[in-house]
Amino acid sequence: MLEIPLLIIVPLLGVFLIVAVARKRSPVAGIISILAICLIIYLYKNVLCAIANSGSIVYEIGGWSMPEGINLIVDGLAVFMLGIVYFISFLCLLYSIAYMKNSFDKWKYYTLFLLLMSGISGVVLAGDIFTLFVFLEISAIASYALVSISLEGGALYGAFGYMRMGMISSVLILLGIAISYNYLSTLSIADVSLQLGIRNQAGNMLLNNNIVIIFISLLFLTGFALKVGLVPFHFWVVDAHAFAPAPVVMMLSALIMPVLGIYPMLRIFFNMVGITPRLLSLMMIMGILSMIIGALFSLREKNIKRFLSYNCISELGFVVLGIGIGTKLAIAGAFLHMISHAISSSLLYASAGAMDYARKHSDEKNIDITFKTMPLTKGASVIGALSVIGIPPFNGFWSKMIIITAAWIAGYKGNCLIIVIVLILNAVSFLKIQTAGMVRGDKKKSDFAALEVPFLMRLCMIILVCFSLFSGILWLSSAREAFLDPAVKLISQKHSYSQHILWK
Amino acid sequence: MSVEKRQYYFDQSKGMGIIVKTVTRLTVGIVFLFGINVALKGHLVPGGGVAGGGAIALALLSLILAFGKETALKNINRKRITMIATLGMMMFLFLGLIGLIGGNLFSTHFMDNEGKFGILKANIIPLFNIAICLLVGSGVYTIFITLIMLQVRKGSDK
Repeated sequence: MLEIPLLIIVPLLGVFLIVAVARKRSPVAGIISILAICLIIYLYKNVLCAIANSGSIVYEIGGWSMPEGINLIVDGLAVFMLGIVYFISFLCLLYSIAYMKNSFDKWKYYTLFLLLMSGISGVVLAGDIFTLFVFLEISAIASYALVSISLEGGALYGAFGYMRMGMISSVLILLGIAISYNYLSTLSIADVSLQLGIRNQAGNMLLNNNIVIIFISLLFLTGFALKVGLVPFHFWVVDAHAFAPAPVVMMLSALIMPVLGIYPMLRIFFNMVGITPRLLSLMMIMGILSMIIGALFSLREKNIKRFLSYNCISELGFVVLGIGIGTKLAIAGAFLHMISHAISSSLLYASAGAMDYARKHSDEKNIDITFKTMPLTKGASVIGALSVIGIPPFNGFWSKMIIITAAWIAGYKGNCLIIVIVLILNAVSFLKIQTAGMVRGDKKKSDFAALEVPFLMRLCMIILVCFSLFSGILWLSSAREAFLDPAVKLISQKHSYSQHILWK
Repeated sequence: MSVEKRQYYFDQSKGMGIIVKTVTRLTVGIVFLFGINVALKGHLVPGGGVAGGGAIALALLSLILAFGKETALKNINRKRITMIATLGMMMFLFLGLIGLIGGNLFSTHFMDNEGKFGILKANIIPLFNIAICLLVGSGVYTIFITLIMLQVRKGSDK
């Protein structure tokens, strides 16, 4: 399988090409990055075809075999995450070609973007925790730089807060990796799981009460929750979102926070350390807290980007709640919600960015002006809001309904009530923001010059709206079996991962 | 010593005193060679690309400290050092990509194990070490240059 390492290498090659060739000619940088991402999507299609036959593929770098060497592993979950990543980042790139047109150092932006792509691919494909950590750091550092790319005061402030929290989380994760390596003498995810199973069978260790395992789990949980921005650790999220350019914020909320936080959490807790009921309930509590607090704080915000970032915390809380419930249906709902969050949040941020582009302001009192002259942006914003609130034809409805159903079946009936209350709060806050745009302002359309956003930005929003309408199709049986079920199966069956990988 | 160099050497306003300058002039080459040595012997003894690159970067930094930033930046400027870093990265990547030729895996050891030169007995690992050495040396130096330049800009604003 030549394609698997190339998923990481191609964006890196693009980075070097841009640094070497396109420093003076910035249109070339955009063309190189578009070409790189198209090539990646083609390679991803090949990987998808190969995975449909064999279930999982192990790529041994340099020919070093499984527990010792560095391995890249593609399985159902990795393919699922990569699908979201490449779809959203392709759209972000289209959007940013129009959005970053007049910015100062474009080649720096594209370089960091491709570096981020390469890091995210590496995180998803990594087969051992240290490789995962290295790619996590690559993508995290690229995203710190991307947040501060405009070099304004607020952007630097937000990026500094983000970097501070990111560094703390990296130290915690590295400590967890070091302790687990000292304890089990192995780094490969499948091998750790196997060794723990052997020790558990031999009876010299009870998995649920072993103090080392509990300590490692808590370190990883804290570290990755910091990367996601779940509620006790959510302080960096709003400042980082508030001043970054719109395509960066799209990437940050739709990809970086889920892929750097939730995906490694899933891999480590479900495939490596082994999940316990206590951890599940901890994740559930964190999810509920971030849902409620995100929704409550979003009520009082007046700046659209800050408002959307609180909303993003609340949405990611849904995903973590779905994982925390822990049944098969709930995890499927969480995965579906990951897709729907990626689509709806990038749609909302794209529309906010279009207003930004037109107005260079995103205060609530100025919305009406852009809404009147930009019908497409208005439509995109409304559809994104409807999707987040959970109105039936749009994507948010399906995922939230599945999570509510799963919570009801699993017996967490209080959670259903909380979800409904949070949805009502979301509806109130979105209504507040949208009505500010629609009702207020008695000036006519002719009072303003036509402020149309460029074609690529409009195209990006149209594609996202289409996917927002039709992503409920993913729950139909054929699409679900191809895309969603392998990932869910990998998570919900405890030892299938290590057996699948090690005895290939 | 040429006239220009002599000027830098005895100019008290740039850099540190003449004792430090003399000592730095004598030791910089040794530290540099030590860095190269550590990087090239990385596959045999403890050390390797990162340690060697760090030593090389420290040698360059001691030049900045002793002779002042203008003198050092005139000789090794930021553009040149960025190109060296890119070269190191490219070298690493292409060494990995050569392994793909002939249907092998990424970063396969593509050379014969019985190399004629002693340094190549560990196959491509010494070459990887050289690439990492270039990358780390120029990278650490770039970080310090960036910090210095920021300070200069801040000072000029005041």
